[in-house]
Formats: sequence, structure tokens, C-alpha cells
Amino acid sequence: MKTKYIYFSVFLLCCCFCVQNLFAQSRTLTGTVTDQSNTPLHGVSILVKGAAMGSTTDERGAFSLKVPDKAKILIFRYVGFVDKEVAIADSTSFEVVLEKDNKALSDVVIVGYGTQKRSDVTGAVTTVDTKVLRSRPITDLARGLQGVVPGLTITTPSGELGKNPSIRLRGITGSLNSPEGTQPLILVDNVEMPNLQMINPEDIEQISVLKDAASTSIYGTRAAWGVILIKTKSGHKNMPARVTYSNNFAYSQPTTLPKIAPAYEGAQMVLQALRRSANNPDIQSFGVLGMYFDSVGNQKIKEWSDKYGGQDLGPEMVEGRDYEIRNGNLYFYRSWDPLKMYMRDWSPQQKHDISISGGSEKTTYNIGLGYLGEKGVLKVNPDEFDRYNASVGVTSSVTDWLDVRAKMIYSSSLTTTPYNFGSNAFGPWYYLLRWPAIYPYGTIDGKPFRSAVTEVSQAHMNRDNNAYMRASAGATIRPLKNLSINLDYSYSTNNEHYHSIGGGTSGIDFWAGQLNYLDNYQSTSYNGVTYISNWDKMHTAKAFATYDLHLDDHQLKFILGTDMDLYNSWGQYSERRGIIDPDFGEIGLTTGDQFAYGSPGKTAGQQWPITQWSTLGYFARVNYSYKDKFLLELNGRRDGSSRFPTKDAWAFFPSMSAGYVLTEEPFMKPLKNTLSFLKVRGSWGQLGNQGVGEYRFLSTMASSSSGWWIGDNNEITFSTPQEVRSSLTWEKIATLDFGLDARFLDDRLGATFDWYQRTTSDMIRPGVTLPSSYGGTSPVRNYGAMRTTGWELTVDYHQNIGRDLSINAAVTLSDFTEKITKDANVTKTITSIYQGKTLGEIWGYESVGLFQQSDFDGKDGSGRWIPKPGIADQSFLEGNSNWFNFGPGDVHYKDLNGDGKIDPGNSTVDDHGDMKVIGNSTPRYQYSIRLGAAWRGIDFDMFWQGVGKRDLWPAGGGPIFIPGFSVAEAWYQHQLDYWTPENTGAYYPRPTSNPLNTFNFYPQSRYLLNMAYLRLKNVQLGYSLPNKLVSKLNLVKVRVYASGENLLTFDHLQIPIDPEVDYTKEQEASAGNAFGRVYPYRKTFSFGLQVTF
Amino acid sequence: MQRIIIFLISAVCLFSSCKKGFLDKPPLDQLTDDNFWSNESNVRTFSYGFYPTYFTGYGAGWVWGAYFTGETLNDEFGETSPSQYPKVVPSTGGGWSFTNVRKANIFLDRLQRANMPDEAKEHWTGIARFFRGMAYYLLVERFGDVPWYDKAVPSEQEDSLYRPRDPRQEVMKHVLEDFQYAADHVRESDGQKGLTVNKWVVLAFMSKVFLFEGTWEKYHNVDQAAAKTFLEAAKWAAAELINKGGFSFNYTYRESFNALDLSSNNEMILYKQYESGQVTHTLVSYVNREGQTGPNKDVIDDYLCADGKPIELSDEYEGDKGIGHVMAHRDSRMAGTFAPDLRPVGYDRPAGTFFGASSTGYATLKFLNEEIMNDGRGLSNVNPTDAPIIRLGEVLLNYAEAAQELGGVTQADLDMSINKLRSRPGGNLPPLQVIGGQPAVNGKVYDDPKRDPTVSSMLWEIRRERRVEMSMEGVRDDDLRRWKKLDYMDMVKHPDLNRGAWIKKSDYPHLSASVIIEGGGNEGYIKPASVLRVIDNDRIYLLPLPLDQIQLYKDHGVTLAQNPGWEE
Repeated sequence: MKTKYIYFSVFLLCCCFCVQNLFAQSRTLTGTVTDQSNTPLHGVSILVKGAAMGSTTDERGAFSLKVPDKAKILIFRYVGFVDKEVAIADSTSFEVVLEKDNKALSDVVIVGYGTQKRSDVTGAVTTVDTKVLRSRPITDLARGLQGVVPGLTITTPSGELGKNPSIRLRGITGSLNSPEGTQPLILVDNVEMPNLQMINPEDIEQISVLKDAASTSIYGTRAAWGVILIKTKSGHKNMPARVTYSNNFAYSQPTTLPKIAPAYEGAQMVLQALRRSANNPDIQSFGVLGMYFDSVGNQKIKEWSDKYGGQDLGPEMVEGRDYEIRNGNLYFYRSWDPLKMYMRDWSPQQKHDISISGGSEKTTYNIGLGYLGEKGVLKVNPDEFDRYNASVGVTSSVTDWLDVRAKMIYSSSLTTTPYNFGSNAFGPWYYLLRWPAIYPYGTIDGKPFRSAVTEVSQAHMNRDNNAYMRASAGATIRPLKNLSINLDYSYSTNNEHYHSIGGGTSGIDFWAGQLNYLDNYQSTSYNGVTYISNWDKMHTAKAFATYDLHLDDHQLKFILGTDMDLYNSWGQYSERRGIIDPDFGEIGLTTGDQFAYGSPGKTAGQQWPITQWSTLGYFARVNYSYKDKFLLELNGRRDGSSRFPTKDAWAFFPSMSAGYVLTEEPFMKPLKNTLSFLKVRGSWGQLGNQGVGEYRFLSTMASSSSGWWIGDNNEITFSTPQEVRSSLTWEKIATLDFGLDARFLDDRLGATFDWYQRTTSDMIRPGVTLPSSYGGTSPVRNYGAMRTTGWELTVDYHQNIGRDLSINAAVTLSDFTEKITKDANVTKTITSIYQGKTLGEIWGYESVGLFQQSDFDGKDGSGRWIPKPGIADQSFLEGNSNWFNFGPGDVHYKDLNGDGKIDPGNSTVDDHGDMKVIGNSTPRYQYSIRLGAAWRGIDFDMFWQGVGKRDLWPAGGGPIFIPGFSVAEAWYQHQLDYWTPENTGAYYPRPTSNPLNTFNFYPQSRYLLNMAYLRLKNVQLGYSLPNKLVSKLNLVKVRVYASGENLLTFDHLQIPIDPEVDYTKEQEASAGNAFGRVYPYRKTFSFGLQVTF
Repeated sequence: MQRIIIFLISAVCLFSSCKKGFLDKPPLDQLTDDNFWSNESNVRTFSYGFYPTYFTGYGAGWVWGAYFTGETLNDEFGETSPSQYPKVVPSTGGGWSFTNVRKANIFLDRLQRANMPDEAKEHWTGIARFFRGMAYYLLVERFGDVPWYDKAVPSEQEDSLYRPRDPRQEVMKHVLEDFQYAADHVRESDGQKGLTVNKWVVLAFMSKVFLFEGTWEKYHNVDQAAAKTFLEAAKWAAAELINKGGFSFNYTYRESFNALDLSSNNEMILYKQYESGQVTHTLVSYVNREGQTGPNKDVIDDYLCADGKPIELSDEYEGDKGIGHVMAHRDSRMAGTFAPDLRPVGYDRPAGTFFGASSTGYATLKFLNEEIMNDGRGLSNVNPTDAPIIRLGEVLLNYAEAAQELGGVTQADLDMSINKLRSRPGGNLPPLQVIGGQPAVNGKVYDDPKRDPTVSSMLWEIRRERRVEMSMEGVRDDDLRRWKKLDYMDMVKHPDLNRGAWIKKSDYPHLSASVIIEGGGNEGYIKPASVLRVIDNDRIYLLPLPLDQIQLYKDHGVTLAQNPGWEE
């Protein structure tokens, strides 16, 4: 590096000498050139107007130039910036600030297999300014992209560490038939990456999101749901080495948490509910998990709270004060706040990234290294997430016709979580929020009680290690002028190793009603060592040739190529019980039963299927442009996939797009100052979807454990073979897109609008509804169809005010709906998929309100309430219950069909009784607002993100949502507003045991969750040190900043959940009642530093 | 340029060389219908898929089997909130499923492809037909008439798929053919005794299934000729097993229900094995520290006194004021089923005991294993005791009842059945005798004054024996239904159903206020429920068919008849 400086200085000196020789009468001008955010610009050309002389700036943006006396004006010119003319006058020192050229239209954007001028793009392509990822305490790229790209829906169902968000483009479902989900294809340097966790946001140079079929079709088979195209940073030729270091330190806190009802009030609600369900107003006591409640005890609970509430009594429990054994039963009086006790106030997170890049005449290189460390929310044995990223890329020109390149990307993450004595769906959050406030979290004689915290604190840590590695090599050959041939090969592999050491938990097991200290109260099945390993391999090869042809006003570009993927994955599970010493938790040091499973034999971990598939495709594309005014693109692809029977494996998919730049027309010229650019475009294209699940055309027989044991064997069995159709082929995804790009006011204001319709046809669906007497599942065929219709709008604005201040703003808004347009289901049960269904729709009753005493004419002889005339009969909704009878304080449902009784009819679309569609769980009107400003070295940016409309009726209910769902367990603070004859305007009905979809909690409008929200996703304030100071430190740039995530939220929720929370995968599968009791969502404060030298 | 051409040619070769078979990627870890059915071992493997469906035992994890609380609709429990028969026609599902019929039909069809000797093929054909018979028995038992399929119908054959319901007697005749074939061809021994289906398992179930169907058709007057055929089949199957199966009683009554290992219990025809840490259940916990639904006075009073006489007739009966009196001089199976102390809610536990309270004061202990009740294995869902699936005791009862229904038991019939139960280790009752068609003990004819007058006194005693022997085993509802005696479930007509133990409040200083004494006094019978179950409709004998199926048939021009009383 030093030698380069010397060379450079020598060069400058030489210049000076030359200049001096040529112009006797001259003076030396010096100065620096920066951009608006005070970053020095290197390589800015400085020209003297009217003279053939000039100079360039160095790394620090400094320049020095001898000019003749008569020189009047200097011109500063830099790619991507507006030329600036500066009068010399009498000055000899200059501080020049160049303004970014916001003629974004001349930007080059990355598109499928190449780049394009933005003004020439005819498909629906959104580019992401990587600035949105800068300085944010986010753990992965997907969280950074949330709300940034209109049409891209990114959701995370919980705040759990290291979990991959769900990414969907233009719709949620896409196809009813994609077991892997319809995630857009993520391509990093043109090769697929399984998820966005594996790429370090700091390594990214450019991101394009290709949305319509015409843009994505060149990628074929797997690109049916859009493409997120990412280009990583690379070095630049003739650039000195530049090192950038940045860090971020963040502290986070849960956004919202449910609160358990105060002990006494909670017990009262339980008693009221139990009295009702047992038809016995005399019930004074109940028990849950060995904790007893009776009138004496409840009084003592109340006294305890009055006397000691809010005091720190230490963990040790005092008999008589905190608990009591009366009559052989255990009574607890002391209240605890487990969340407060066991949660950190602030959970830390840190990030460090270094990148080094540079280039010589022939070779460029880029090295990126990153570390992210995140700690969980619990105080004891917190979970942790660590990720290491490394990438190395080199490109070299071997000859004038051959470039070669190689790149390695490596990402390794380690998630450590305490061993879970239970299922993944019911973690500690579930249990901490499950029991009443008197659940004993203290100790007796220093010994802890059985509890989720005791279990976590004594648990060993599970280690889930994920490593992704990709090696690619490629070459570009240019045998002719305008012809280049690219050959690329990548090998990527993903390895997951999960290691858990079980064991036991010691504690006072009072669940059966006694203070019973046990060295281990867990099942022996937890006392084992488990290894789960999953690994996959993917080979990707691509070859394509590009030929450019320019004939006067006609520009043509041809691409012809082929690509292939070969994928294999494996998984295995091994476990052995009987750990000798938990500190040495390895299988070799165990003594008991051993178990081994290959996937899909056991799904305890996150096992991957043992599978293989391959695709092969040939593609061609022609781009045509006439005078930059008429634009046309044609694509064709022939694709083959191993997912279909040999004879149906191949299909052809065409696409086309066209654009017309009206502002290139002479008649538009007069408007140039107001309407600087206007393009209309349209596209249509079709792609195949092979993500339909594996071996659909074979009658496979999956093996599983039968649960019937003979000796030491859990006998294996096989599933019943199902009927299959031998002809199954691609699902076809066609997208029609119309768009408009416009810029106004000298390009300061811009707008992009797209309307699209995506039709999935030949969807693989159960063919016809078969009667139950068939006894199997209806064989699938290419039959169904669905349609996504939506639109997207982006508006951006920027303005420089004076020399130092610039402001910018951007707004996005998008919306879509998904509808089933063809299906063979004839029964049309409201919960099923049927033709005409809008996906996400929620059927339910309309609620009038809560019944009041005045709605009834007293009770009849058998104790049933008699509704007044005019009030519909709700007895059907009492189901098979022998105790529930609608009365005052219960939900009054509306008689929509006016037949005098409330019922769901046949629960079909044709006969749905009093039910109707009360809402929809699809997020509608997703929007974002970005506002930024820069003044001298100070920059400010805030980013709001929101969902305009979304409803949710949690399918599994759960006690957070439904009071009395698990009647004797915890009730919550927010449920205290319940109906009594005195509190007739309450939100919740009279306390009742309310199992799922019964009585007062049939899906209905009153308790439907409104999940719309507006959230300050990010706000940051940065300061770049002044150039002079930075130069003195021998640095290029220094910026310090503070940044916050999720700091403000506006929502309409009546229950204490975060509006972004949803069911996690594990909950969806088996634990609907755990809704709302998930790892908390967090708001984050952070600060950091960025240095370039 | 030359170099470029060589480069390109080699690249093209590289691509094209992979092409052949590149898109042919068969599954790596799944067999298919085409290659699975190769040998006997695979056929056997497939057969295990039926076991967990038909042989649930004590259940698994937190899921109940049919025993004890798995079946709450009976006249044994004194529930605080009595279980009700269904009131509502389901829109879909509702148990109307033919998955197991299809599975058995496919098994039957495919196993013929396997490479194995004729003997093996006949054995497995028998096994497949046994499983098909079981599938149909379970459908007929709940729904009555069902469409009969003897092969898996392809989805295109609409006329076969939309088959109307066949009369139950026709269906069960086919089932009888299946069972008869199985009884004739299934091996006497195949794999581990007691854990795999063999000839004796087939015969045992045959006696159960056809006793059910025979009595159903007799008492519901479906088809008297068919009823006779089925009862004869039941009797024949039971006799075959009793005479040739080699099963006997080598343990006491209770040891058949609470043993950690049933393999040495010679009463077991089929049992389910449980193992700590691998497959466990929760039944021991329910009769251990959890609060339980207790037995009612009705079932307690049905146990004979040790002299073989009903309590009303016996001189030994001490009345029911106090558990010591209740349990004194009674059938030893009573002590093998119920706890020797009363546990009303709020009772004072004696030091060192941890038993949960009971809704009636009386408590069931039949499934409790005292050895494990206080270590981790007796709590939660990790109980490892083995569960009987079908045992000699039930077959003996099937035999006696079938014999009685077919014209009356002989003394020989009783001696080879009920009297074997009474003389098992720990049994204390004198043999049951038949004198002139009337029940007798020690040479004296007796007639229970509490007998249902529509039931003959001999049949009454056989049914009592069944109720006592199989108490809390989840069979009572089926028995009442086939006898057409669901009115026994009516709590108004049978007040003993809502009576628990007789207690004095003053004996229980900490008695919960929720324990109600009948009549509101300070002593008397515990009254668990305040709202009673009334049986006022015969439609509950059969389950309703789901509405969507009826509609689907209708759309195809076929009528799928709803069960009587459930039509809208």
C-alpha cells in the first residue's frame, strides 16, 4: 500500500513539474471533494474549463492542481454525481460537495443473466437501495427487507433467535400445493441460496427483486414465485486496498407480554367458571397441579398481596406466610411475577464486520468477514445465536478474451438453547405463562420447585450448528467483439448438526399435591444424548452466451443458454439413553437404549428428507430497443424436472414484455421540466412450478414406527399405498403485469405503479371429492387454479435545500388478494378449499354484544333462561353440553338468515346458516414510509412499516385469547373486564369454561383480532466526522450512529400480543393453544461505528 | 481462437455427458407399492400398521385407551357432570371412515404378490381378513348398516363408490366369513406369544364380535335367524379357544391389570407391552394421585357377597354405612377393583398416602401398581404397566352369555366358563349352578329382587358376572347398547347412578363445600351431579352419519340413509 502512495505522490509531483514548465504564470489550487454525507470521493476528475488539463482526487478526496492565471472555472466530474462548475476567483483552496445524480434512471440494474439500464427495463423489477440495511441492529437480510419492497411480504411469527422469516412475493399462498412454501428464489451471484440468513448484509452490493414472470422466466423452474437477485461486493480494477470496519451494539426488550391476573382475582374468575360448568354455585375450592384454592386460602392470598405485595422477600418460602399444608392439601399464598424474575431487562446483541477490497490492472478481490452475536431473553441459561460469515472473491483477466473468477461464501451459525423437557411447541414461554400467579417460583430449604425455570436453569445447552459453504468458479470468454460466453459452476453444501444432552431436573415436585423433593422428576426418556445431522449438496452449472448488436437506432441483445441443478439431501437421528456424566454428553458415554432414525422416520428435530431432484433447462432471450423509446423483450425456456414422470417431465414456457418511453417522443419535450420521464410497460409470461412435493406420481409407502412394541422393538410399519395418477406435470404460473414509471420536477419526484394478475393453473389438487367410503385420499391431478391480483405503488422524492441540507422521502403501498378460481371440491365446506374462495377468509358469526338480564323472561322450571320474543334461539350452539345455557353475560349472536335460530347450517358455502365471512387473515395494504435528511455530517433516517388490514382468529384458541380456555390454569390481567350483573358493559363474557369453538367463543366479529399495525421499524441518527479531522487520523471516513428498531407501534389489539406474532411452525403443527405464548418480539436500541481506512 | 474452441467443446461435452438419466431421480428412502410386496417379512411389517388402531390398550402418552376414563358413557361412574350422548349431527367426519377397510383390502390384495409358501399366504390372507372383519365390526357397531366393499375400489368407479348402505346382517355375514377363514388358516403360533395376532387372538375376537352382533340383532329384532348364526359362531369360537388354546389363570384378578410385565400371565391372549422411557401411558396416574371420577352405588351394589348371593339376599351383607361394611364379605374382585377407603373431596389423607379424591367417595384402584405408585413411573404420563387387550376372562363370559342366549346354559357350560373365573387364584365365590334354568349357589336357587323383570334370572346373573369381571374396562356402553338397555343409563329412573358412598359430614372436618349430600343433610349418600342425564330417545343407539356424505351421495343420485331419529 505504501508503495502505491509513493508512486502516486511521484506521479503528482511529475504533473506539477510538467505544469510548471508549461505555464510560467500559474498558481496552485488545492481542496477536497466530498459527497453530501461528507464522504470523500476518490477519483473525481477535475478539469479546467477551456484548457486541456486536469487532475483527480486521491483517497481522501484531496486534490492539488496548478492552473494558469487566466483559468476561471473548474469542472468536477464523477460517475453517479452531477457535474459541478466552480468559479476560481481568488480562492486557492476549495471544499467541493458533489450532489448525487438522482437521475436514477441512468443507473444500471441487475436483471436475469445481465444488467440493464433502468430506463430500459420492461418487466416489474424493484431495486433495493442497500442503504436501508445500513446501521440496523438486524440479524438477517430478510428482516432488513421487511416493508422495503412493495409486494414482498416478510413475516416472523415469534421473536425467537436465529429463526428464518417467511418471505413471500406477490401473494402468500401462490400454490396450494407447495410443501416447501412459495418463497421467491434467492439468487446470490446467480446461484441459489436456501435462505437469507446465510448472506451477510454487509457483503451486498446490489439487490433487485424480479416480480413478474417476464423478468424471472429466464431462471426457469424454480423462479415461479419471483426472484431476489443479490450481487455481492467485488473489488474494482486499479483501486487501492480499502478496509472498512463497522460494528453495532444493540440492547433489546420485549414489545408486549401477557400478564397473569393477580392471584386473588384470577382465582375468583376460575371459581365462577367452575361453578357454572359444574352447575354448582357452592363450589368453593379447586385444584390445579397440586395447588389448592379454597375460600380460606383465597382470603390468605389476598392478605398476602395486601401485606407483602411489591416487597422483596427473597426466594425462600416461609410456611404459614407463603404457603401452607392444610388438610393434606397444598395452598400457596405468595404471588410471583415469573416474567419479571427471569427475564433480562435488556438482551444484548453485537455485530462486527470487516471488508477489504481492491484491485490491480488485471485482478480484483474482495474479502468480507462478519460476526453476529445475539443473546436471549432469559436470565438463567439464556439462548444464544452466533453467526460467522466469510466471503472471498477474486476476478482476473487471464488474456484479453478470457476472464476467470472464483468465489467462496461461508456462513456458520450456532444456536444454543436450553434443553427442552417437552416439545418445541411448548417452550418455557408457554409454561411461564401457563399457571396462576401463586405458582411457587421460590425455594424451600434452598430447593427449587418444579417449574419451567428450574428446568431451564438445570438444563444442558442444545447446540444447533449450521454451516453453509459455497464454492464457485466461472469464466467469461469473448471470442468476438460483442459476444461473451459465460460458464459458471457452483457447489454448495449445507450442514446442520444438532447435539442435545438431556438429563433430569431435581426439585420439589408438588404437581401431585405434596412437597416431594425428587432428584429427578423427569421421564427417563429425557436422559439421553441426541445427535441429529442433516446435510445437503447442490451442484449448479450454467452456460450462456450474450451477443450485442447495434444497428444505428436499433439495439439488439441475444442470450442463449442452459442451466442445471442437482440436489441431494440426507438426515439422520441417533439417540442413546442413560447418560453417565452429563458434562460428557456423548453417545459413547451412555449405557441405555439406543435409537436411530432416518428421515422421515422421526421428526423430533428439524430433519430434512432424504431426497434428490434435478432440473435441466434451455433458454433464449432477445432484447430489442429502438431509439431507447420502444423496448421489447422475448424469452423462451424449455424445462425438465425429475419431479414428474419421464414422459411429462418437459415443458416450454414463453414470456414477453414491452415498454414505450413516451418522454422520448418529440411531442412530449415541452413537458420535460415537469414530466421528465414517462414509461408505460406491460408483460406476460408463464413459468412452471416444480415445487409440488416429491414423487407425487409414485405410490410411495412411507415407513414409520407403529407404536406397537415387541421386546425392545417399536415395530416399523408402512403407510397404505394411495392411488396415484401416472400423468402429472408442471403447475403453470402465468403473470400479467402492467406498469408505469414516471419522474417529475427534474427527476426529484418519482412514481412507479404496477398492476398484476398471477394465475396458477393446472394446480395439483385432489381430483374429485370422493365419499368417505372410498377410504383413501383422492388422487391428485393437474386440475385446480387460483389467481392473485394486486398492485404496487412507490413514490419517492428528494430535494436539496441550500448547500448543506438534503431531504428525501419514499412511500410504498401494495395490496393483493388470492382467490381459488377452479377446484373440484363439490362439498364446499366453509373451511375447505372451494372454487370462489378468497384465501385467508375467516367464517364466523356476527356478534350483537353480550346478553343482559333484560333480554330474558327469567328462567324456566329446569333452570334454563327464556329468551324474550324476538331473540333467536341459540340452543344449537350449546352443543352436547349438559350445563351451558345461554344467559345474561353470554355472547348474543346475530340471526343473519332470520330463521329465528342460530346455527351454522350444513357449514357449507351453499348452506352456512348464520355464519358469514367476518374477516381475512391475508395482510392487506402493506405500506412503508421512509423519511431522511442530511445536513453537513449529520444524517437522519426513519422507516415506518405497516399493514393496513389483517384479521386473525387463532385456530387453536388458547387461554391468552379465550378466557377460560383451560379453566383452572392462569387467567390474565386483560381478562379481568368480564361481565357481571354490576359490570354489564364488559368486554369479556361471564367467566365460563370455554373450550375451542364453543359457547361464547365461536369465531365471531366481537373477538376477532385486528392485526393491523404501524410500526417505527427503524430510526437512526448518524454523524460523519469532518473530513479534515478524518484525514489527520489517516482515515477515509468515520461515522458514528445510533439506531433503534421497533421503537413505536400502533395497533388495535385488545389482547397483549405483538401485532406481528403468529403461529410458529411447531405450534401450527401441534399446539394451537400456545398462541401468544411465544418467544417475545423485541424493540431494540443500538449504536455503532463505521470506519474506512 | 483455437483455444477458445477447445474450451467451448470441452464445456459442451461436460454438460451433455450428464444429460442421460439426469432427470430420473427415484425416491431413496421410500418404497413404493410396486416394489414393497416382495416377501413375507415385508408383509408382516405392513400388518403392524393395524395394531395401534385396533389394540389401543391403556393408550399412549396423554391419550387414553378405552379403559377407565377412556369411556365415560357408562352406568359405573358417578360423574359431577354426567356425560351425554351426542345431540348434534356432525357436518363432516363423525367416525364415518373407511380408511381401515381400504387398508385391509389393499393388504389382502397385495400380499398375494409376495414370494412365500402357500401356508404363509393362507396365514396372511387370514390375518388380512381378520383386520377387515375388525374394521367392519367397528363400523357396524357404531353405525349399523354400512356399504360392504370386499376390494379397494378405484377412484374412477363411481357406481361402486356410491354404494348405498348394506343391511348390517348382510355385512356381518361377510365378516363372519372373514373370521371363519382366519380361524381356519391363521397360525396357532406366530412370533411372540401374546404380542402378535394368531389363531387364538382371532377366535377371542370372533367370540366378542359375534356375541355383540348376535345379541344386537336379537334384542333389536333385526334378523332372528342371523342372530342365531352369529351367537353360534361366538359360542363356537369361545369353545375352541377354551378347549384348545391352553389359556388359564395363574395370577389373581388384579394382577391382570396392574402388572409391569404380562408375558407370564397365562390369561393373556393379546396384551400391549409398555416400557419405561419408550412407550408409556397415564392410567396408573388416574387412579393414583389425580382426582378421579368414582364408581357409583349402582355398580358397588352389584357385587355379590362371598356366599355367592346378591346383597339383598345374603345374610353376610353389612349394609353400606361405612366402607368397612360395604367391602365386608364380598366378591374378592371388589377389593381388586375398588379402594378400601373413602376419598370424598377434602378427605384427610392418612399420613404417607397421596391418593387423589373421588367424586363419589368410592375410588377405583384396579389399575394401580403399588410398587411404582410413589416413584416417577406412577405419575404423569410415564406409567409402564402392560395392558390386556383380550383375555381369557372375557372369552369365558362371551361363552356363557352366548350359550345362555342360544337356549340356556348347562352346568357344563358354567363350569367351563364362569366357574373358572370364580375359582381363579384369590377367587372366593362358590360356583354358579343352574337348576331348572334358574341360577343357584350351593344347591339353592335364588332370584335377585333387583332384577330387571324383562331379563331372565339366569341371564341376569351372567350379565352381572360380566359387569363385575370387566368393571371399568370400557365395555359397558357397548353391552348396554347391544342388550337394548340404554335406559339403565337414565339417572332419573336409576337414582343409584347419582349416589356415591354414604358418609357423615362430621367424619370429614375438611370436607369440601362442593360435596353435596343427598337430601341436604349432614349424613347420607354423596350426590355428585346436580343435573341428571335422561334417556328419552332411541336414536342414540346408533351414531348419526355426517351431513356432507349424505349430500355427496345425493349429488350423485344415490341415497345414503341417515340413521333413525337423526333425520332433519
